[in-house]
Amino acid sequence: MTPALRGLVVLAGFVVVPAILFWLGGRAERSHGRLLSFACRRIAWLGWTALVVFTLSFFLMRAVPGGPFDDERRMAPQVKRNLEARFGLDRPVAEQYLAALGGLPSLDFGPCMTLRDFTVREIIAQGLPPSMLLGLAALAWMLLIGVPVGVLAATRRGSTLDVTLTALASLGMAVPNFVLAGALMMPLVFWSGWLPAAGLTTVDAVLLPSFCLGAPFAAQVARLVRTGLLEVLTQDWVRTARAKGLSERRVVLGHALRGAMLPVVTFLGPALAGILTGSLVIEQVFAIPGVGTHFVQSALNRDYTLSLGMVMLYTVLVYGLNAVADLIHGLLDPRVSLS
Amino acid sequence: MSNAAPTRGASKSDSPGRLAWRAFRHRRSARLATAVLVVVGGLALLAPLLPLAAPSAVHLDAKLRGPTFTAIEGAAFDAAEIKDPGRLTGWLLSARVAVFGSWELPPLFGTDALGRCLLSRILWGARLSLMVGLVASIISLIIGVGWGAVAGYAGGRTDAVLMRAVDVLYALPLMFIVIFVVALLRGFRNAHPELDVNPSLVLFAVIGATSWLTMARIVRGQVTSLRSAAFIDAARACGARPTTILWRHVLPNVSPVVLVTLTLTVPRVMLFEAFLSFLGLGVEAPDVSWGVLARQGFDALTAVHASLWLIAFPGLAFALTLLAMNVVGDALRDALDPRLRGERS
Repeated sequence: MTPALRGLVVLAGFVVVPAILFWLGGRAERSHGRLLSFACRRIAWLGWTALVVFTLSFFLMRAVPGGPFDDERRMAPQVKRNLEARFGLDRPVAEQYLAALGGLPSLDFGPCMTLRDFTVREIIAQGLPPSMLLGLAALAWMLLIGVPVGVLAATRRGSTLDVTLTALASLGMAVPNFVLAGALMMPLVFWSGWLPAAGLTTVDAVLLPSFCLGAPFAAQVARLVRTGLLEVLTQDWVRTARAKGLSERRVVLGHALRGAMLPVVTFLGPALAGILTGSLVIEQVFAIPGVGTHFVQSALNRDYTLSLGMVMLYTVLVYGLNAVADLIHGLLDPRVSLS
Repeated sequence: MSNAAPTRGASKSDSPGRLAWRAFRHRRSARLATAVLVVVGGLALLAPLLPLAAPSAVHLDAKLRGPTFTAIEGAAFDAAEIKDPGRLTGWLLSARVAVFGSWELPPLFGTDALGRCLLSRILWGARLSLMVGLVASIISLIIGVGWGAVAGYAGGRTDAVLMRAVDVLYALPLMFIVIFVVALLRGFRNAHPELDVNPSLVLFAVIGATSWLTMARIVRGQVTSLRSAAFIDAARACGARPTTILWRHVLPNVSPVVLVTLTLTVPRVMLFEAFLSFLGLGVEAPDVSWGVLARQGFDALTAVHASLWLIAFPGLAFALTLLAMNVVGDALRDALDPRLRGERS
């Protein structure tokens, strides 16, 4: 099977398989409940979305002048032609597209064009673990700081503590994460030497980068928890809980907080997308060898294969994380319809 | 919402707008934040009029000076340093030269690695940063309100299709696509220097075109609930066309929510500009923005020689302005529509 033919088959598959899944999802709604149907539909949309993003990015990149081998000065035309032939760039664009699409199901994006001797898959495999560690740690900071601060501020409403915490939260949302990183780096890294400045080799090296990444989102979570809790605490069922003699701690933590967390779950999707975006910056600040740095560099270098791989990676990540956030929301709140 | 005005203590002259304004004015933090924004906006607008050094004037013998009251020896303002100013800026500049001559303020905030005055760069940078925030937000306003209003008013299949598109776009890594597009466009401009596209304009348009989704969702929700209101039915019964109904009756009722969302979009957009500038994809030299300044300040942080003022002042300017915007946005939201509290993304 020629690469082009393979590409055509994959193209057809990306249109038809999601359609079948979608149809199955509609049927499953009646027989197997909403969870399975939700999963089917989301996966179907993911397939179509991936195809559209792939196609748009591919042709956008080719439409913009300049190729991966233009920057290297004084390259003999013969050498350049050979290089382009090696990566198949001398073929018609449609054929290149189909060939690239053909590799998509097996996650084979081909060799990197600027980082020689590496395939795109290898770059992603090397960069993903540090990036995921950073992202998860930031998520942990977001919840571990955001929720307690929000609860504290709401339960002491109007006190100096509340005013201070609320002001700090507003400030946290107003500072770009790299400015925060710079401000914290001076005392914690350069002056005292408590934390390492860069890299991700030891456990304490994760602390500062993930804090800088998660802090703005922790601020938003704190605000959401505070307003949510204040609203919930006025509800009748909270009064009932108090009336039956529960301690204030159990009323707030055991009953009210659960209701107040719903806005936080809704915020989870945008927050995850934001953490991914922020990691592009934080990875550069702390010289973390993750995928974020490659994303920006490959687009700047016109590394066709690598940047395509990166766009697809982030599309799937953002889409998948959004779907998970929606799923959690739907499971926690039966009033929300999963679609 | 004009049809849900609070009635407590309302006299005949209390329009909903006036009540909201009173609630807004009543908050000290809101008054303070408004004052900050007015000052920052005024300084940005009038920066050419102030006796500042030109933001791009290099003094290699005065590199990395801390904040000081002593002027740089031999420094004199030259209006030619400011490359193609617009008409208003040119006019302000000539007024400045007429009043102050070539005298300029000493580098009160210190100088950067090329001996440029940081105070001047912050004030000139404010022009661009605020402009990015405003222009991109207005673009997002136009697209978002149009999209949401049409979806909400048309209802049915049109609504389903339009909002499904918003859902799909929401799930895309839009930030990544912006970064991708900006990086690619940069290559395009390098290959075609003769086209003379203003890089900042591209930046405005791309950011604006990707931040309208929240606006569309909120407007659509509001319009959907307004659509079945009695006064809309009345307008329809009078034979008003759908465009007239939307423009005259629906949109004015949505405007408070739109205003609130807009105030909260501006700081988000400005943060994004700072991100892009940090990655080297934002505003290009000789233009300066706060993002660019923060990036340069960050680069000046080393273990050996820390020029703290280079990150402190741009960071403070950024934080203060965004904080004020968030406070004003929150106060507006509480004043205009208490039910919106807690809703933000």
